[in-house]
Amino acid sequence: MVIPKFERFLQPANYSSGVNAVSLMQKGVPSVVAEAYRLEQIQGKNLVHAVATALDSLDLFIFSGLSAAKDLSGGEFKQIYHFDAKAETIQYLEANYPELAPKTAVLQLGMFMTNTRAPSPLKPTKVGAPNNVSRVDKSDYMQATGWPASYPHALLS
Amino acid sequence: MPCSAETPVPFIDPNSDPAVFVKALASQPLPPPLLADTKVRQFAGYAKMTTFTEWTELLNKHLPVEVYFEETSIEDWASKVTVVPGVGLELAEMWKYCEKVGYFGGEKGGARIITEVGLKSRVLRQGERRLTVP
Repeated sequence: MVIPKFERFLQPANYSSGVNAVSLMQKGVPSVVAEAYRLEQIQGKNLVHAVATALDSLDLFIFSGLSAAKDLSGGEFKQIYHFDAKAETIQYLEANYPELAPKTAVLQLGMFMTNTRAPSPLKPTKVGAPNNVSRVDKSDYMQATGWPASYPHALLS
Repeated sequence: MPCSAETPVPFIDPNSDPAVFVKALASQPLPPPLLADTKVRQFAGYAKMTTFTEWTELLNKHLPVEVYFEETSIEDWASKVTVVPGVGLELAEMWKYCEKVGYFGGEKGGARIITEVGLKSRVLRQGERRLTVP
């Protein structure tokens, strides 16, 4: 399943080994992680707006968040987008919905043990063997990650 | 990995642990925020804080091959993650952030560790409120 918004990022030319967001952006290729960050910021605000409409009857809003990596590292780490998008959502809530803030609990979960099955350097690999694959097909990726085939993953075609 | 072997890394079992933490938060009065300039309460939920030293020991104990940990630069590690462009650098920075600041943002992050504040799932007492709104 491919989410159409991401299709333009998934050209094979964008998958050669060793690419990163910075070098891609220098070449004029839009960054999929920066785009995901932008979407998560929008979704976060939408979520806060929706919760605020139920403020009167609301007991407790539990938000699955992460720490503000860019701010708390003094700007040293600027590309931990999946942390910052969530932290900015809560900063937005705090700044714009002072009555919702005291009813909000952010739950920061640790990393998933299942991450270690992914085809990344976190998965222990044999010395000398390729540490990763530049383009995995759907069945390999599913097998490697242990995700069910029905998992709606944006990056698989 | 692009962080030291002693970097604390929190792990959960995603299929069961989130429900335990959510139930703990939703079933009792919550302590106030740790930081003075925020009204949002921040909680850290994890089953075990571990290090790659521990990991390597465990893998060596249970696998029939020799496993070792190698610390790399952010750039070297990022270049090996090629499934999606950009993800390598994002994750590599995250590991280094875990070493230098902490996954939960360190002291300035203001997150209370759920187990350390004694939050366990329980039923509200009669007349007890979930939140005391300041």
